[in-house]
Amino acid sequence: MNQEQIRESGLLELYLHGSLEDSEQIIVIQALEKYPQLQHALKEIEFALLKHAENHAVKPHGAVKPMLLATFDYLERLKNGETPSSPPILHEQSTLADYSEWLEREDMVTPPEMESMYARLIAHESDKLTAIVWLRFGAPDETHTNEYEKFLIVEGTCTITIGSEEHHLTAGAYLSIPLYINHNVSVTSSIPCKIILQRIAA
Amino acid sequence: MDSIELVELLKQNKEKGLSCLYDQYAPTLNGIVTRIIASEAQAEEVLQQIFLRIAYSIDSYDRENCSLFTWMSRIARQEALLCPGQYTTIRQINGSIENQSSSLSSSITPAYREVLDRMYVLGYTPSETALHLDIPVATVKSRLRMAVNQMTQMIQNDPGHFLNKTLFIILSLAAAL
Repeated sequence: MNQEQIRESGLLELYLHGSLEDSEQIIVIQALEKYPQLQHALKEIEFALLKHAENHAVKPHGAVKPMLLATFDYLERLKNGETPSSPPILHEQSTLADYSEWLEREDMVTPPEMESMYARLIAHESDKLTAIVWLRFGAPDETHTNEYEKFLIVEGTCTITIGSEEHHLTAGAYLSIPLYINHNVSVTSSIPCKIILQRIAA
Repeated sequence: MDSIELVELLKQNKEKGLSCLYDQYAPTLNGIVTRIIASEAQAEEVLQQIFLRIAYSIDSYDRENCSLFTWMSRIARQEALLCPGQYTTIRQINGSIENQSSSLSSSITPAYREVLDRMYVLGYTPSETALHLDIPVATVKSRLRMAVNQMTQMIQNDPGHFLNKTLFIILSLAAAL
């Protein structure tokens, strides 16, 4: 195929999309080597597709970023030899002392330039995730359909609203969120509210 | 931060790089993911998986090959399509696809847009798109090409409407090369 035929074939679009078959992939790669001018066409297509994607952008929930960074940190810790632990399940009678091993860790503190939410994972097991979370202002509305969320307040105070029920929580307080009911967290202390969070598969 | 700086940062300081990369690209990549996966919880998990995969495989990204976004969008589509149950999801959203407004794609010829939307909004492969629209794969390719062509024309004719200034300068530079 000559340059014009490649351009007209639609192969460049599929090449960028990542859905070419091997034989076609070879044709495109060879053509790109043979006709450097095709690079310009490729850049134009990439740019149009970027614009298209930006037009369809959807802002993720605010908790995704801190949990992503916490998961990354956890993976790095395991890579550096940390043994995975199995923290106790949170329940009505849980106390902060049950989690002192992690609460006292020197690497589980907030950085000086903390964003509105920060998290470090205690453990990520197949059926449950346990983390320490710091909230500066609160957490937006969410509803869980496939996991139970439990909280134990460590420092600061907050109000957790489940449906229309308000729960005013202080250090040592425990709360469990039922499935399918919308809830949000609003921090009422001047310091960030530090919480042990557990998500258990339903 | 431009994509070259982002890639460098990610190679030197993964956590910081990941944070910057997320701020810049999360909504765009999440757009791809949420149109393939309807469950919010599953989509969040997949988005996290995508960013972890990007961070850990950044050394295999070659900017001679394609732009950072193109590379990341392929990863995003692959991860989203691996998610169990997403095929039923595609059929569910399928009916409402025409209602999704996008200033860029709304003025594309409908027959071309059908193909573009299936591949770039719903994550179909070319053969699934062909099957779904009951047209040959070759037609899928040519219509996709026409759709992209029309978008490129629109961007060039009315840059201020679609582009922020920096991106337009990049495009002009690319055109001048």
